[in-house]
Amino acid sequence: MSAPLLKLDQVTIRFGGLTAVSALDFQVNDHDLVGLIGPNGAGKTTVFNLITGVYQPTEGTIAFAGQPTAKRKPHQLTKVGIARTFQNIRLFHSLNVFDNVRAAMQVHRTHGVRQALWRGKAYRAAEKEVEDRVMDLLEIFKLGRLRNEDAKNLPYGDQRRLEIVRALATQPKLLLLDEPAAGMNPTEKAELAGLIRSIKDRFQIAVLLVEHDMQLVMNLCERITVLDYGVKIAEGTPTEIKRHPKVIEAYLGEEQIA
Amino acid sequence: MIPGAKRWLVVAIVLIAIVSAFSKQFNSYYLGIAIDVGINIILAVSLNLIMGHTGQFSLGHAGFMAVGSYTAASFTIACTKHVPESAAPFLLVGGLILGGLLAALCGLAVGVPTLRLRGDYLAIVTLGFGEIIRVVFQNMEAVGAASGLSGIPNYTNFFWSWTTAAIAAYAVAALVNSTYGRGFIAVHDDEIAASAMGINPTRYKVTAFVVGAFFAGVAGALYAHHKQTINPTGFDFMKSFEIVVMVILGGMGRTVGVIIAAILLTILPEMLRPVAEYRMIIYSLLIIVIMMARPQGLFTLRSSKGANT
Amino acid sequence: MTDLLQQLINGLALGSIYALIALGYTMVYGVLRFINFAHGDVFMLGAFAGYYLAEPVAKVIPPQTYLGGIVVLLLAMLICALLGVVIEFLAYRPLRKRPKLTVLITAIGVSLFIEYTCQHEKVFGASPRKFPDLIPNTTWELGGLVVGSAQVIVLVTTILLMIALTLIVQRTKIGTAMRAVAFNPQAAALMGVNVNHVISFTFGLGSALAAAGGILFAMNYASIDPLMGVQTGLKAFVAAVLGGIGNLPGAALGGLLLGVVETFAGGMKGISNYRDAIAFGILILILMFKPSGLLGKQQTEKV
Repeated sequence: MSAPLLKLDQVTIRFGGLTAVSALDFQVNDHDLVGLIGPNGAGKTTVFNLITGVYQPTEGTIAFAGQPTAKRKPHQLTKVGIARTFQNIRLFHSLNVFDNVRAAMQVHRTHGVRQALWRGKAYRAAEKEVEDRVMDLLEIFKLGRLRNEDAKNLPYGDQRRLEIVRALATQPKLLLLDEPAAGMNPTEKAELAGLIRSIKDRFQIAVLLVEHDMQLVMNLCERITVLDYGVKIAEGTPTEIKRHPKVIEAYLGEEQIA
Repeated sequence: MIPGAKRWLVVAIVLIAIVSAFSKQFNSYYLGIAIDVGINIILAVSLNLIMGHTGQFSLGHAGFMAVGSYTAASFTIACTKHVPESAAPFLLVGGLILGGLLAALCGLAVGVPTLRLRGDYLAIVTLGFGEIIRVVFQNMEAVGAASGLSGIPNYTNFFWSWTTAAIAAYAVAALVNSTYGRGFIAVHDDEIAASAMGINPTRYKVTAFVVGAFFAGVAGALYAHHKQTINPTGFDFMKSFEIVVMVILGGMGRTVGVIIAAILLTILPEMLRPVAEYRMIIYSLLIIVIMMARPQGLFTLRSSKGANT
Repeated sequence: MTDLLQQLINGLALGSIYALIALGYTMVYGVLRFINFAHGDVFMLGAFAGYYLAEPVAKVIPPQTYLGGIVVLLLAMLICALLGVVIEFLAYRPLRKRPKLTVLITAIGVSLFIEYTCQHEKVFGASPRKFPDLIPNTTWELGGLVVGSAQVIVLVTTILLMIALTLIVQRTKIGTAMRAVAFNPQAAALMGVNVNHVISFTFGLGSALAAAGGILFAMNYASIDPLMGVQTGLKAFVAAVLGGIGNLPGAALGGLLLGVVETFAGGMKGISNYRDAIAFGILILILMFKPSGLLGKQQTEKV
């Protein structure tokens, strides 16, 4: 088998005296749907920031598609195929729904300053293609009719979905979802689960999910990694994780494992 | 048939040419103000790219204008004796491009080191750059030091002022209203989210600074060939601030609003001429009142900008 | 060597004035997170307050005495403190919840308003005036060093005011409240701190220091005009940013550093003409390597 899509090897990051993530080994293969869970403050989002290049690991290496990601900026990593959403929705608030997605098409546009100024035939054809792709994506996620709405005026659930659409517009190989179910009610959560599954199948990509909601992760993910205080305490299938004594201990008193 | 946005540019230039053909009929005082308006539109629209669209608060725009102004003026003064009268428009265009390019170079020099800074820090550093540029000209004997440069040929007319303004407005609007250009606004809204979408914030910020500085330099070049005398104090912090006010009153990131604001704020001081001694007092009070009453800009109805910038 | 020492003394005197003004910038920034552009004008108003107070005070206390000087200084500080509170109340308080940019532009508007109003002939007029001698004008010579009484007063007053400021901020209830608001205004409000009072007090305190700076400046340079606060204010602000804005010792350090560097540069041939650009040159250099200033805390955005 070829190299895994994403491989974290003994990754550690310290902020001052605090070790947020410690010697983490972890991998995601092509078309995987993997969950990363853990109690509050376990370092899940930090792992995302490490993978996407927002932070650089203090020790250890991260490789994406066989290539080390060290020293690469977030926008460079997006270009090679890592996309993400944010825990605290970060849409472009002064752009409308359509343009939020259009802004994320940078990776695959063929023109720059010169073409935008001259607006020749090739430019117009390329822009048309971008527009069609944006609309296709919006339609798939039932956001097409909201195309001219300001992103910040959308209902919460739509904002979360738009963030996913925007991330998909970069045409990733790996999609990182940071607590996509936060603040959703059970019906919305069920819909979301279906959506994530269909994304994985339709776009043929791997999904890495950070989530607080146990039930969602257990139902959705094929493999789960559990973090506690920055340390990996367990890894395995949902059934294995449910029975794992360390996991039960870590979550004891916080919430019941479904 | 020329498609899309370019058509409007051509229509605008034709209209300007027609009006310009009759410009001899106009009172020269009003014509002078009209030329000022064109120049201020260029300044406001170019700062709007940096500040309104990309969100980089800059208090040094007059510095770029000074660079363009001095460069173009030195160029035409040096050349004007060696070429026939009829070559004047070519000299002016040459001066505009040269002034713009040198200003763009300065924009690059300012943009790159200041990128790590945000908000207030960026404001004070750009202000500092503007002041440094001014002090440098103040000490440059070759361009008249503190007393300034005079005897600049009067090449700027209504046609050139407004045509350049139309080109500047088109350029900024065309740039921002493209898939590429949505990146400017994305950087403005949320740098971290933008970089997660494959947008290189540094690249965009520098581009905004360079393009903005280019047009500020062009405006400076027009200004020099309109006033015929320039001196360093004309490009101080106060001038930069006037341009900032145009952008803010116009509603940050709204091309049309910014153009209207540039027109109003050029005419307003002229209208206050009868009360000259209270003019600047009224101006400053107006700024305070407007900031309290309409901080989103004078003409902004909706509270955000969409595709129709 | 004597020459260097002389320059150092001159630089420290100028730097002390920058420091006094910079403290006001930094305090206001600390509690409100915005640049009070009008602060340089309060400095100017302080000098003018001293100018107009000199005569009436001279009727009670003999002119050119240290006591008279101190009385004028304190009165001017009081007047400017009130002015600062009024400016904040009228111009900035209504904008408390607005974007920072709006407030910043308003502050520049206020600054221009003060400058142009004061330049009007019915107010101060635009032409410079000679500042009266408030204190006995003596100079001492110490092994080739020439030190004027005004310079000594600048240094002594600055040190005393800084000690007073430190005591106020660290030891009093209102000072603790100031630090609390600077740290987190919402939390401070929830803890029962009256944020509005604290902000008013901060403006008053900062403006009083600026007024002191204005009078000390006028004593040293003898001439005052309505635009004297523009360049000096800007440089003091640069000093505050240099030290790390929001940081009190940083402002003092930045001010002294800037004063000394400027004075030395002013004495050097070839550079002296660029004196006004030096402050900004240093600022840009330092911010390129330490974006939060010399003593400022590095801030990272949370993702």
